Amino acid sequence: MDPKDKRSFKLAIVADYFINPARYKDLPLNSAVYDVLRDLGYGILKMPEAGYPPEKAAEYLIPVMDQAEEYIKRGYQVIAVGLKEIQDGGIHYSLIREEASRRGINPPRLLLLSTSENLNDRSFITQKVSVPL
Amino acid sequence: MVRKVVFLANCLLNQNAKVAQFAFYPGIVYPVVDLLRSRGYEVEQLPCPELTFMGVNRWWQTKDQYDTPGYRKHCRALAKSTADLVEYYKRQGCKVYLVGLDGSPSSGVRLTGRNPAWGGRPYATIEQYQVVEGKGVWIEELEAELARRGLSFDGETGVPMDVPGFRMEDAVKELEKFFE
Repeated sequence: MDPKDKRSFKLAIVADYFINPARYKDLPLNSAVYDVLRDLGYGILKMPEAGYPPEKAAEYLIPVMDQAEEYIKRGYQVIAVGLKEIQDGGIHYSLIREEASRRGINPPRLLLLSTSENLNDRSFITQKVSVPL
Repeated sequence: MVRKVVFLANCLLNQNAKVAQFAFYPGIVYPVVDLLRSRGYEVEQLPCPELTFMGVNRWWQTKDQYDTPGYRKHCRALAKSTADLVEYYKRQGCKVYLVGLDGSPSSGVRLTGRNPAWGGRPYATIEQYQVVEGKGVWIEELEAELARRGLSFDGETGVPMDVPGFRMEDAVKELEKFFE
C-alpha cells in the first residue's frame, strides 16, 4: 500500500453501547473502549442499538458481513467487541458466527467485555484488544 | 430533550474502507467523531457501497463510472436496511442528520467527483479528478429510498476529505458551525 495511505488494516465490529453509551440507562456511562479502539487505529463497523428489532438487525448485519468478508479475504484483521450484559454481546455474535460459517470464513475473534471488569482501565482494555489473532 | 442522531459515511468511522492513497487516518476520523460524541450526538454508520461492490483494492473512479444500473441497484439494496434504521429513529421523534464524504463519487453530499473521460487502461492523476457540486450515487439512492417512505434527513453536510487541498482544521470548524 502507498506510504501516503495511513490505514491500519485493523477493524472491529463493535456493539452500539461502546459508541453511544448514553442510550443504555442501566449500564455504566463511561468506558475506555471507544478511546482505546480509536487510539490503536481500529476502524469501526458499528452494529445497531440493542433495542433494534432482531429481524431488522439480521438484515442490517448482511452488508456488515459483506464488508468483514472482503476485509478478511484481503488479509485485514477483524475482531468483534461486545458486552456480556447485552444479549448476544450487543453485536448479534451468534448471527455473525452463522454468517461466517455460511461464507466459509472464520468468524472474527470475539472480545466479550463485562461490566464486572473495569471498563475504564485503558491498560486493561488495550491488553484485551491487543491479543494476537 | 430531543435526541439527535447522525448517520456518518462509513469511512468516517473506518478509513480502511477508503480507496488506495485516500486513508488519512488509521481507523476512526477522530476529529469528526469525537466532536459529535462530545456534543451529545448519537452516531450511526452508513455501509460502504464501493467496498461491497468493488472491494477494498478498487481503482479510483468518478461518479460517471459509478453511475451504472448495476451499481445503482446495489445502492438501492443497501439503502433499504439503512432507511429502516433512519425510520426507526424518526419514529422515536429523533432529529436525524447526515454527514457524508464530500468529493466522493458515492458518498458526496455537497460535492462529488467527475471526469467523463476516465475509463479503460487505469491511469489517473489527482488533477484530473474534477470536484463539482452534486451528490454521489449512493447518497442519491439513499435519499430516493427515504423519499419513497416520506422521510428526509433533518440536515446534511459532508466532510470534504476527497477534495484536493482538504484541511481537517477547516472541516471541523465548518462542522461545529453546522451543528450549532
